[in-house]
Parts: sequence; C-alpha cells; structure tokens
Amino acid sequence: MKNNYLKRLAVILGFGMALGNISCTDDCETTRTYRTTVPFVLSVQEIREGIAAQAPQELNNLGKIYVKDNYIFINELKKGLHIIDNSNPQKPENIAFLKVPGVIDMAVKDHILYADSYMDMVTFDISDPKNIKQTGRVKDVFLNGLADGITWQYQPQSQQVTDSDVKIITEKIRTNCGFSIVNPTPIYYDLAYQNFSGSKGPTSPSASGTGQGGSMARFTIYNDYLYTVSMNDLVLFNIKSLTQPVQESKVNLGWGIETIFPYKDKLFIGSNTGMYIFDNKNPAKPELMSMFAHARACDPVVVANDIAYVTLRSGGPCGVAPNRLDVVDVSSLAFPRLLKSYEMQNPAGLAIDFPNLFICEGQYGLKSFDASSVSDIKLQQHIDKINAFDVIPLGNKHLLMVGKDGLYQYDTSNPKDLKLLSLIPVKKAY
Amino acid sequence: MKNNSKKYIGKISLIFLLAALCTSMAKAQEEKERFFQKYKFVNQTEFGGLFGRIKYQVYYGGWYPYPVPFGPTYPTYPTQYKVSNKVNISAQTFNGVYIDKKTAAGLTIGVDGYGETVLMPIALGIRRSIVQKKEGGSSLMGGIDVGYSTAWLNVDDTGFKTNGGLLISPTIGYRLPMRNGSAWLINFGYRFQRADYIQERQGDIYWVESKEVRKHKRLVFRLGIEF
Repeated sequence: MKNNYLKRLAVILGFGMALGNISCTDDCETTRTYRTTVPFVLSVQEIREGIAAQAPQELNNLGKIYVKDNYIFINELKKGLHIIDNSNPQKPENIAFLKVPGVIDMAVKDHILYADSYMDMVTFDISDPKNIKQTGRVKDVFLNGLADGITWQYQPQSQQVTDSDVKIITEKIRTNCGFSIVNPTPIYYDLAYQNFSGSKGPTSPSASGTGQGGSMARFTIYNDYLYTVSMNDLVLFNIKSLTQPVQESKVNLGWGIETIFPYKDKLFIGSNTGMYIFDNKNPAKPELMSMFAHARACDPVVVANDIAYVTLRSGGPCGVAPNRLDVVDVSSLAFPRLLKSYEMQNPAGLAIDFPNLFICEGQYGLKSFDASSVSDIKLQQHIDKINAFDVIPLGNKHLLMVGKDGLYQYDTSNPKDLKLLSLIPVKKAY
Repeated sequence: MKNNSKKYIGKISLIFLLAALCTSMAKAQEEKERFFQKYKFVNQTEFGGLFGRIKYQVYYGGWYPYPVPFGPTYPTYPTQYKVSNKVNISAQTFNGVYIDKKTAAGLTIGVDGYGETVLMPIALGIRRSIVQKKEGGSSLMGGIDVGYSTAWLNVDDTGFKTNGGLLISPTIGYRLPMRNGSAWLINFGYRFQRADYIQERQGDIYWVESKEVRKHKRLVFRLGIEF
C-alpha cells in the first residue's frame, strides 16, 4: 500500500520536472530585426578610380534631383547619377547611369556637370549624356558630409574615407524576459534626411546655362561661381574655366547648414536654427546681411516677389517645432519680417510658381495652394495617398515631384486639378 | 425590409430564450443543490512566490544591450551572460468539487507577476490527497494546473504587445485541517509559463521589429487556505 503512494508521488514529481526540463532559469529568446549602420573604409584611390559611365539602372534610394534642359539627373545616394531623358514628360526614358562614389549633390552649367565625390569635386562633360566623360577634379575640398542620416569623414593624413552602410540585421538573442525592458535603439531614419532635391522659385536659373536644383540643394551656381554648403561651411568655386573649378574661399556658417537658394543677388541659406541672408553683389565674397531665426526645425526656403516661404517640420533631426508654413517679407533684407504662419501637417519641400504654391506633406501627400494673397493662402487641391517629398516647377506648367515611391510629373495648367503625366517608380528597397 | 424582419426574429427568439431560462431557473436551482450534495464544493486560495533565475546576453561589459556589427577592422567580442535571481508574486484561487473521496477537480484563476508583465492564468486544476494517515487529519496533497494565461491585466508600452501562453504547474504540499472544517495549505512545486512579447514595426522612422518568446520556469511556493 505504502509503496503505491510513493510510486504515485514519484510519478507526479517526475512528470512535473520533465515538463520544465528540470531547470529553474527563465528561457527568453528575442528575434529582432533592426536597421543599423556598419562603418567601412574607402581609400582615396578607390574613390577616384571608381568613376564610370554605365548602362541605365533601376532607380533606388533616391537622392537629390537636378534638371537641365530635357535631362533629369537623379542621385542615387553615394552611388551615382541616373540620367533620365525627359524630352517627352509623358514618357521619360532612363538612358544612363554615371557611377560616382560618394555623390550627394550636383549642379550643371552649360554642358558641365559638377558633382561631389566624397572629399573631391568632380566635373563631367555631359554634352552626350549617354557618354559622359570626366573632365576635371578639385581634390580634398570637403572633409565630411551628411546624407541619409549618415555622416562620412575624410582623414587626409591616412588618405581614407570612413563611411557607413545601412544594414538590416535579424538576430536571436537571449534576453532578460522583460525584467527591465530594453528596447533596441535603432538608428534614426527619417526620409527628411534623404535630402531629396528641392523646389525652385519662379526665377529663371540663377545664371544663364545652368539647370535647376532645389530648395534642399547644397550646390548652386551664380554667375561664374559655384556655391556649395557643407555641414558648416560655404565653399566657393570659381568656374570661369568650366571644366576645372578653382576653390576660392570658405565661409564658416556655424552648425546645421542644410540648403542654399539663390534669389536675385542674394543667397538664402537654410539652417537648423534659421535662415541666413547673404548679400552676393560680389559673388566672390558673399556677406552675411541678416538672419531670420526660428525654432529648431528643418526648413526649406523658396522666395518669390520678395516673399520667402519657409516650411518648418518637426521630428527627429529637425528638432521640436510646429509643423507650419511661415511667410516672411524679405523686401528689406536686413530686416526680414514674419507676415503670417499657416498650420501644416508635415511639410517638406515646397515650390512656388507664382501664384501657385506647391507643398509636399510627406506621407500626407502633395498640396496645391493659391498664394496670390499672402494673408490668405488657400488650399486648391490635396493629392493624398502618395508620399511627396519635394517638388521642382519646370516652367510651362510642369511640375516634378519626388516621393518615396518615385518621380512623378504633373501638368499644373489647372492648379485645382493636377494631372499626372508620368511616374518613374523606385525599386522597393525593403 | 429583410434586415428588419431578421432583427425581429432575433428579438423574438431572445425573449423566448429568456422565458425558457426563467422557467428552468427553479429546476436548475434544484439540480445545482443536488449536484453540490453529491459533489462537495472546495475552494483553495493561495498566495506565494515564484522563484527562479534569468540569464541573458550582455555586450561590452553589460552596458550595451545588443551587439553592434562592427566592420571587419573591429574585433568581435565573445558573448557574455549575466545571471540574476528573481522572485515574483503569484496568487491563485482554485474552485472545484470533489469528484471522488480524494480527488477534487475545478478551475484555477490567478494572477502572476513577472517583472513588468502581469499574467492572469485560467487553468483546469486537479487536487488529490496522496497520503492521509487518519480520516480528518493532515494529508499530503498533489495538484496540477494546466491552462492558458491571458494578458488581460497587463498594460503594454506603446507599440508592444504581450500575449500569454501555456501554463503547466504541478505542485505537492500539505493540507492541515482546522477544527472548523477549513484547512491550511502549504504547496511547493514547479511552474512553467509561456508568453510572447511582440514589438510591431512602427513605420519608417524606427525600423525595428522584435518578437520575444518567454518561457518562465519557476519554483513555486504557496501558502493558503481551503474551505
């Protein structure tokens, strides 16, 4: 009888223990996927020899856009430039790819394309876009740069560039079962950082023969000068001799410089904390005239008829700021004056084709406004369900819009009803 | 029109159902009494602790929670584990009936805390007297609860979701009767608890998702009363 009890006891205990693998240690495994950066090192030689003209490739990871005549240059961040023949906006054609390591910005004058390649400034002859040739190079002009939330650094002593790749990692790790919840801290990744190209005011290209960049561009051409803004400097190049620019001066602008926009003989430089206005009467030596300070935000600027339109966007690297459109009177450049602010959702790039104002609202789509009256800017159309990041008005009621999904072209002859002309889709990255 | 008639049919059938319930109520009461005369009701309410350990990976001396994939020029660090002991509280109530002289079967509902997570187990339980020297005296009891823990009492951080899971908990312990018919209980056993902790993708800004499968394996020690 007693034996029977003991047997039962043993069975119960044994059963219980077997179920728990006899362990009293919690077993918690997390499978996680996150995006992170993986640094890599490139030698200067590799970068300089990496330039090559190649066959057209699928669009991927869109960067800035530059338009010159019938050609659209689309930057694939740090990889190269896609060249699109846009002679028929309804049927744009991807005709070539120019491999340029480290390219973030570009500008065109006449038949010469200026592009950065990490620390160097490289010039290309684009008279035949299908067969682009390198014509010159200014060495060691940039020390660091920022694109897509990732900074690269150049070490002149070791002749090396350190850059990082974004990598998606899936891993299994043994965790502490949530006793103190440790969330992986992913790198901050915002499309705002992708530095899409920007919009362009109604002014004709700032120097004859140049193309159109945008409000988020860091390169611009004025007369015989190419202005480039790096993270904290304004670097000037004399491009009298088109193929071989000469670096002339460097103006320190402080931290957080984002964009450069030429208007009349002034330069509008957008930074994280405000808008700098430079007098550019002497293009070789721009002089700071005034600064219009605002809350810390990302702030593309466009200017038309002495009115500057500034969008402020909040979130991440842009700081905490209201999402809004500021309309600033810049007729007296020494004393810019805020006229009115309008509430926005998450404005990014903008463009003015007076009296029409186009504002990209990120994931909220593209908006078309009537800006004929500064004190009463009216919404005319809202194209939602698309991701809109930046716009460039091409003249002739033709609008180029960049979003996460591709390059859109609109006919704006009726600003209340924009017509989609074409879409060049982007290869899905993830 | 069709929809309307459907609604009416639904309402009418509901009224009929209620009427039927009312008439059977008295009968049910009788049946219930008879049931509890045949099978004696028992409640065991217990409080206790869950004793165990956690062992988890740490990186670079423990200050960094997850590995950084450094480039080829950086050395890879060996995995390090950190161990710490954990005690968490557990409370449960078993409501059942004696299906024979020695065995009671019923439903166990409880609350278990595991750090930031609170789980509410709902389980089928069996309690059985294994050794009893004399009628009405103390006895050695075995018990097992098998069921599912819900996360109804848990509140998650934004973007996260906790799900409960399988619970298996065999115990063995003493039942020490009091004069008034109630009894003290001392139980000792094992508790296996599964749970999931899921982080959903939060758009494009924080591009991260994770799923944690938690298997809590604990010793359980509980004190309680039975009536």
